[in-house]
Amino acid sequence: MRKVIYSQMTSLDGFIEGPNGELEWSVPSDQLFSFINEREQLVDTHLYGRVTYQNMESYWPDREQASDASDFEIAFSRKWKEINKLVFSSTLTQVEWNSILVRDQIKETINQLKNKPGGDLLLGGAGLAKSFMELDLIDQYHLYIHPIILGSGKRLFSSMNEPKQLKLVNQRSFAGGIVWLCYQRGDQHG
Amino acid sequence: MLEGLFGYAIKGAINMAKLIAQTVISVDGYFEGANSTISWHHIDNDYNNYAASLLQKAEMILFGRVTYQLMEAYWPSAQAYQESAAIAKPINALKKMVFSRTLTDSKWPNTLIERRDAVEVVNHLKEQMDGHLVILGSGMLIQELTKHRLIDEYQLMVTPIILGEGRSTFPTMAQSLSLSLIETKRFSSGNVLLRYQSNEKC
Repeated sequence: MRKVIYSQMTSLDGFIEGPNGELEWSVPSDQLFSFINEREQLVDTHLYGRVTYQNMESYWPDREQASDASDFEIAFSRKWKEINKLVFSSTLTQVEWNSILVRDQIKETINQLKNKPGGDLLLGGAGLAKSFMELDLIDQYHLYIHPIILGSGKRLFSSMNEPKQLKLVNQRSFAGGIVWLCYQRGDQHG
Repeated sequence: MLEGLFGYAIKGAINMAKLIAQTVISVDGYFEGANSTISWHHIDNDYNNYAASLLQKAEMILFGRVTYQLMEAYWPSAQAYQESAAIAKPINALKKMVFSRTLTDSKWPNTLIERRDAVEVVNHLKEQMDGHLVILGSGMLIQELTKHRLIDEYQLMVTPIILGEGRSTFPTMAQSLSLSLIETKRFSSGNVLLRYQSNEKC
């Protein structure tokens, strides 16, 4: 069955960006970028909330033609434009680049998709991840932990009423001290 | 000790103790869940073997009050010796210091209750001592010493759970703190040990 994967760069203290939106600490090396692309071979759908969709849409489409783009960026730009995207938003009226707008019924939409044949679904935004976690829709967590204590910023995980038991399935470390931890949902969830 | 003009400086450079903070954390970085719960900590033989080897190399253990009281109630007991002799022996024998202004007496042999400011005392200890000073648990103490860049090495045992709520091991800080990864180790329980060296020394 298709998996929903939440994949995120994070500081050791659980922030995905600094207090002023700082992201420079999380820029992947070519080695890491290459690994991420490999992990995402089986992904055929991206899931976005409004903010992440707008961030991606304002940056990636033009990178294929940009003179300063690395090979990885060029490849990702091409892939991003074509890949199926679901944008969950009740305020946007229009989305582009092979995207479908989903206004509500997150759980039903995702469960329907999971029951159809296809690849994995990749979730990138913290805001949408919060809703997905509340609805218990995430099957795997891919956390790329950077060797930095940021001190404040935007949280990777929001507060929840109930803990989520996980199962470690894989881990790896990279040059530069980044650690990838891959967890799947614990046995108790239905 | 080398005497003379450079004697003091050389002693300081060679003999500074290394402060290691070791604690169990959730994936979302909490050392304690809601209502101070730590029942989610996964402590098995692998963990105990790792903890025993950490203690073998320690000169002294530093504690905050909460962890100290939990450990004081267990480690001196016969049950502890039966269940985990490899830890019970060194942890009972080692010099211990607990930072607390409210504790009036301790039942754990080899313990000093330190009422003065932890930052000042730890600075002093690092200068005066050699070898490894180890903080066990003691999330609030780790927070305070992290703010002051006094911790040389972090050993974090990441438990496979997202708590959703709890007390953070890491403080809110204006300046970020850069680390270098020393080692990662995976245990069959799903725990992962992450060891980092601080890139900023005080």
